[in-house]
Amino acid sequence: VTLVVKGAVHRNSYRDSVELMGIAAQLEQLVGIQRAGLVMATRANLAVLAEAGLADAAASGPGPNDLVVAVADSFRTASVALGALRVSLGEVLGLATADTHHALWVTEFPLVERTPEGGWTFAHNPFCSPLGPADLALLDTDPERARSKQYDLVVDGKELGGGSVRIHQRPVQERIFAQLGTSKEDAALRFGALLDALEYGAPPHGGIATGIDRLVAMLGGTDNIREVVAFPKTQTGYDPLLEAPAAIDPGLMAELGLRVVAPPTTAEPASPGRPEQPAR
Amino acid sequence: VATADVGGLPGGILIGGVTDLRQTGIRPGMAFVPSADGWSIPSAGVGIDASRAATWSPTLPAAASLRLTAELARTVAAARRHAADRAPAGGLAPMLSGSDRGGDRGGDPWLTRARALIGSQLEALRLGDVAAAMAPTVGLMGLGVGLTPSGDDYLVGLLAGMEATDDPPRHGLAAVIAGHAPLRTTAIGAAALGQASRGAFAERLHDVLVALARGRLDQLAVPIERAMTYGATSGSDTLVGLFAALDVAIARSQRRPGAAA
Repeated sequence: VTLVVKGAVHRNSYRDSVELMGIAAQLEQLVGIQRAGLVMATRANLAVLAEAGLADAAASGPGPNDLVVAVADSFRTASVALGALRVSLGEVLGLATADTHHALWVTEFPLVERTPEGGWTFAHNPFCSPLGPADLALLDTDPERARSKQYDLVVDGKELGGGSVRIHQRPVQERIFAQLGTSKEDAALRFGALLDALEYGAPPHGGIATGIDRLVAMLGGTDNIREVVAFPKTQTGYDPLLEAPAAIDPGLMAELGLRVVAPPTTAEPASPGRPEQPAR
Repeated sequence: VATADVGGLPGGILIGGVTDLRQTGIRPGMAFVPSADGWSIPSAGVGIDASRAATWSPTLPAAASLRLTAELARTVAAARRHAADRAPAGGLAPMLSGSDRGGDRGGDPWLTRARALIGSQLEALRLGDVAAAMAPTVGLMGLGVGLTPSGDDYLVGLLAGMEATDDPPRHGLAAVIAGHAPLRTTAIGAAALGQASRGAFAERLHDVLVALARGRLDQLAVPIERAMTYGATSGSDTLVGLFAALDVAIARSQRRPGAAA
């Protein structure tokens, strides 16, 4: 996968050299990247990239003073790496503006994706509707190309919210379950109520949820969401205003029929006859 | 504009007495314009008075002229070994070593392509066939990693070596390089190639050539190491070209009737 940065180099500017080294260092720190290359888009370099199967680097017509970043890995891993790099380049090269906001919709997400074991899993959740009948049919021939009715709202490079149109037809839901390797019996056991509801006549439906706190953080010009949350938690999850979590009253535990059981340790494996720990 | 420790640069202005240009208010990327007595950098509010500045010529000094002898061949071999032992991992550095240290880095496509083109170019130059050297020379321009791609750095070194040995094919080669550079490589790479085509080289390369001309092995280390510290791989890529030019000139001279063994 390649990323082209137009006008990355200014005439006789040592700054560009420093920035190139910084970018290279960033790429090397990304986890899971098999190989990353960072070259100027000269004719000779574009020819080498084309021979390596990266002909798309030349698609936007880059010139010698444009930068090409090529990352070799799975499409997903490489895309995630280049996405992160793209955001940081926006700041390094001064392409990101602080005084204006830019929003866009990301649509047509993949419906399913490969698992490391060679099976299939959902890209977002198993209830998202295929984009159309052709995408449903692709599950039989080329599942990775099947698209879904998912959408994200991105503002200034950050995900503000997302949602999807859900499946409202039982045969479609069953086909998705089958693609994910869920047997009919298992689907009936785990999702029987949903499948029955779809059969009784669910209308087409969808939704979206946006993070109001993220929006407020953007409008407030901060990257730290804790600055705009009314009851921010610490990094350990402690809420200093509500003093939560706190010790639970034993009487309340008893009233709810709860008790705390200590997790088994490797030195002393749990056994059916082991006495239970008292509630704390 | 650079600090004095960088050494003389073709088209460069060195400012003494500072180790970090930021102390002067000058920042990377600022434009500078000619003024009555030198230059000014308006963004930094800095004026450079060139009327009392010392000048330095990027043209190779007479002391850098090399005689093609067996002694020079031994000195060049020693210099290459010293550079190979200290070479960085990237660029053309594996070509510094006869044992090809690090190989092709798992099939580095830029190194593989450069190796093939350099092989063709040098074979043509060994035979004195300048016309056959043109195509691989053009192919090397803009090839490789870095802001000045490795192929550009190699060609700068090659031209420096040819200039020091007064190798006649350099004129034809320089004309081709100067003509193609603006379209084939980055603005910075083209500037370096344009200077080299006119026989202008950085002081660090002068020093390497002068040390080679003296033939004192104990005086080689400092200029070689200084030349290699330039850029990430630019220094070692340039030395690959410089040593290649000297190898070719020496090999050709040894084939001439009456050449020294």
